[in-house]
Amino acid sequence: MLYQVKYTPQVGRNILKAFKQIHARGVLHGDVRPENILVRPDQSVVVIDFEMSELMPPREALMSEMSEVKRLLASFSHSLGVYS
Amino acid sequence: MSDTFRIDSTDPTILKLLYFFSHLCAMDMDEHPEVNAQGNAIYLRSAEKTADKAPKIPDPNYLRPHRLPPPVADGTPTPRRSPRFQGPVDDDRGPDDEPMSRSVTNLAFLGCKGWRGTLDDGSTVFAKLWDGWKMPASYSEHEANVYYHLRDLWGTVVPAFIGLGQWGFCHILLLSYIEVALSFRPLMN
Repeated sequence: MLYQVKYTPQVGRNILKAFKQIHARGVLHGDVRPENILVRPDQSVVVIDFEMSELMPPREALMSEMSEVKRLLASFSHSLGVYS
Repeated sequence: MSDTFRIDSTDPTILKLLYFFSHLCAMDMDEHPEVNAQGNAIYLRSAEKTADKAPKIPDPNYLRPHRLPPPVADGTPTPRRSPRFQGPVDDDRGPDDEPMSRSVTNLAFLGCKGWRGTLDDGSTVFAKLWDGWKMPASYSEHEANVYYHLRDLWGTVVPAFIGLGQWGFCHILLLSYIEVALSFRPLMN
């Protein structure tokens, strides 16, 4: 799957940071998709749609979701050659 | 009794008309089906004897989700971005403890369950709607609980939570509207 994004390393870092902050508060998003990640004009990131989320999930679930986020970022870099 | 009814009455009452109609019915036993504009008889189709399309009664055994304690802040004060929390914060409060009435207008469909609307104070909000006939309130309450749990991230990496409630037959969740620069849209493979 390819995604049409103007993608920069800063956006990627912000996405990782956003999910780390959410996980640090014991929330598993549960539906990591590009559609649920909004990027503001200043390249800051907003995560939306917590309908599938879990509160206080097992630590393994949080680690698994973070891996999922990294895979998503890798797919961006692979398809566009921008993010590294 | 209809024999005593005067058809040329100039001051009919509902009771007199009922007598008159019952008299006509007694005189004419033929069927008079409903007809359309072309004079063809029309018949109403009976509903299917299934409950598939009937409104679902909310599950009486539904338990509201347990409200978790607020996250521990890392030494920094919690930013209070919503007008609802400008006063002292009571940690036992949840997203639905403080009733409020807001009017949402100018709803524009954004896709899926998302709508953009305008509050009565002129601010633009994101509204997420669930069909109240199909979805129990637990969906919106769960999401509201999660946003409440993340309240120290409101306006930064998650939208600010504004309110939760009913809008017509829908459950509605109001969030701050995010101006988006980039959207991740799948390309054609």
